[in-house]
Amino acid sequence: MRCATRSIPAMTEAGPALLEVRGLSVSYRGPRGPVHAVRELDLDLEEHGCLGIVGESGSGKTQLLLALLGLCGPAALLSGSVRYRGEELLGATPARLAALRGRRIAMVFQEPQSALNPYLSIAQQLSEGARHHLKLSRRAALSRAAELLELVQISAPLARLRQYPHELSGGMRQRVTIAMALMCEPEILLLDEPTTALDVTIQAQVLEVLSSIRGSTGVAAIFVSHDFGALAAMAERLTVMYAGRAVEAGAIEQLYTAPLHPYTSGLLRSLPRLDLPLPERLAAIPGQPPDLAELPPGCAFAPRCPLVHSACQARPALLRRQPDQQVACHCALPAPRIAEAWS
Amino acid sequence: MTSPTPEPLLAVSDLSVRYRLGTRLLGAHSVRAVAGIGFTIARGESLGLVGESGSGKSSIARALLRLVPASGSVRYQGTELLQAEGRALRAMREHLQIIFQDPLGSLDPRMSVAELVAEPLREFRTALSAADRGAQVGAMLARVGLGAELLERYPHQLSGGQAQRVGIARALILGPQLLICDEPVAALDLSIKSQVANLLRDMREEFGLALLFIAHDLATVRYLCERVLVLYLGQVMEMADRDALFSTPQHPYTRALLAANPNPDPRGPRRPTTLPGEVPATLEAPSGCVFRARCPLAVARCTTERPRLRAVGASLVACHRAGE
Repeated sequence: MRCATRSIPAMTEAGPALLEVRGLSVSYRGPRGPVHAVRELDLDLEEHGCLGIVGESGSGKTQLLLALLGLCGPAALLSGSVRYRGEELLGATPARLAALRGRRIAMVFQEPQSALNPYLSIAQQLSEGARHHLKLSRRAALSRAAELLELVQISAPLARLRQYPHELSGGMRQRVTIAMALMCEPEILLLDEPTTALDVTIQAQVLEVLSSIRGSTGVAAIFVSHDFGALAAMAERLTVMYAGRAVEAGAIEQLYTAPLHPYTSGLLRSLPRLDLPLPERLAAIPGQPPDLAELPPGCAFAPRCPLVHSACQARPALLRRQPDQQVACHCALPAPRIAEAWS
Repeated sequence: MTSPTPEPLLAVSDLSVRYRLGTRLLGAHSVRAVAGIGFTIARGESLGLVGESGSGKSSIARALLRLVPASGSVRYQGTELLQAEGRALRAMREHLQIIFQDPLGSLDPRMSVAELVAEPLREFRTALSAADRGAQVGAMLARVGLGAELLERYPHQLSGGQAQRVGIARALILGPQLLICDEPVAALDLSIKSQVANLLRDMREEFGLALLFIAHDLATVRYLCERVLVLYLGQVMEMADRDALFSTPQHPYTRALLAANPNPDPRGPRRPTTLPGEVPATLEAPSGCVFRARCPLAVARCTTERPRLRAVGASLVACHRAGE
């Protein structure tokens, strides 16, 4: 299969990172002043890596993905820096962004139903990007489309190509959008909650497809989700977002076993689990995520935090606390003590 | 296992739900969403209904409330609900309440929180004075964790978690004995899910409520339900007490559902085990076992003979191969 044998660019010692985000902010004008969707965010995506982003609605995770592709729209105010292999994408010309979108950086959306055009056959949707970006002939694009349907484990790909989105199930549609994103052999896949709308058995299938694709093509991914289970199956690194900011970031095992931000710790303790003894009561984070137009001056999580103290009136910076773990919190307690605060 | 108490609160037998499709001219046909299922719920008991989309979970909830036409028998405290008309039907609505997956979509956008929670009282407790009604509404809102400052707000001014609490307050204000929960936490934010799950648990204890809890999230079902019924294509695959179902699942479908649940521990097996295929979108159930097309254990007998529910281990299972 062409995808499987694609040449993986050799890692150069001092070459620019695949994707480097520094101080990215996205805000919108609101009736009560600016709404800050993303604030001063730093991210690093390594060649072939998978970076997970976890957060609730309003945490800025989708806005972040849209900002990377220059899709926030004219109303958005963006600042900071997004570098793809050293090339600055913030402020790049629309033509340059259009050349990268779908070609080098491709996106898979949460709702496969609305990501597909109901009037176009699967063949048309899949080949459109490849014909435009790679200048493939109709025939070559179709044969590549069939290869990719096979790669995402769709049976009878030739028959599927003639079908329309409404003839496919939700799980099948999501595989089609994944195949569509892979048509031009992108280097980065942006996955915006790709399994959230799916049943648990179908979710497991799609996660398997995504993992095997990463193995065979070496595509790097940013995987946005609110599901720790799905993230644990895919991501090597994790950034936890709250109210537009990264509150904790690091290796996923590290964040899972010893979370140092009370929000990460509270979320992990609040998950109902099948693999642990049944708790007397689920730990629950009180209150609700803040209104982005009326954020408190200091730490945005302070009103819900069991460890809040006077220092939290000033905003904590994201600082390295362990070799592979950064945390934005004034409390310097070890992970077990933070977990205790939730019980 | 079928009935821990002599007189169950709710006894469902041979319940079927069929939706008509097409017109008579073009050839009317129908799809069977629920195919002859039975279960009971004891007073104060919590029964979980699990299965993928298309398994008939929501159709069962709607059939119990007479929101879709159904056949079979649904007896609530000895009264047949499926035949109830007029006053009897109205009286039954007082005792059976439901909360929905989409908390905002289930609240009238033109009514304030105070009006929304008072509405059932205005309908069913007509003798109540406005002052008493207001007091009951205030007490119920406090009970579900909402402050008095929300009374004059409208649904669009509420967060998802607050709207679901309003839905719960509205469902509980008449003091029902059975609350049907149709995926009540699925659409809520991560940090809000466990708040609402805990609230439902408290409400059960406080009001002695029985729950019919519909969810595809098995971990939440394990937390909230004492007994679980696993559905596939409108049929019962397995029914068991919580501990038996989660520790020794007998049906291959139950095992597949449990194995597909992704584990949040990144140190565990990195990938959940997958079940091949999808719930078929057929109008008529296949012959024999409805699950056979996806089943790793299927044999010739599964094509010809529909398995009946039988006791294997601590479960009731509809599988020829269970217990082998």
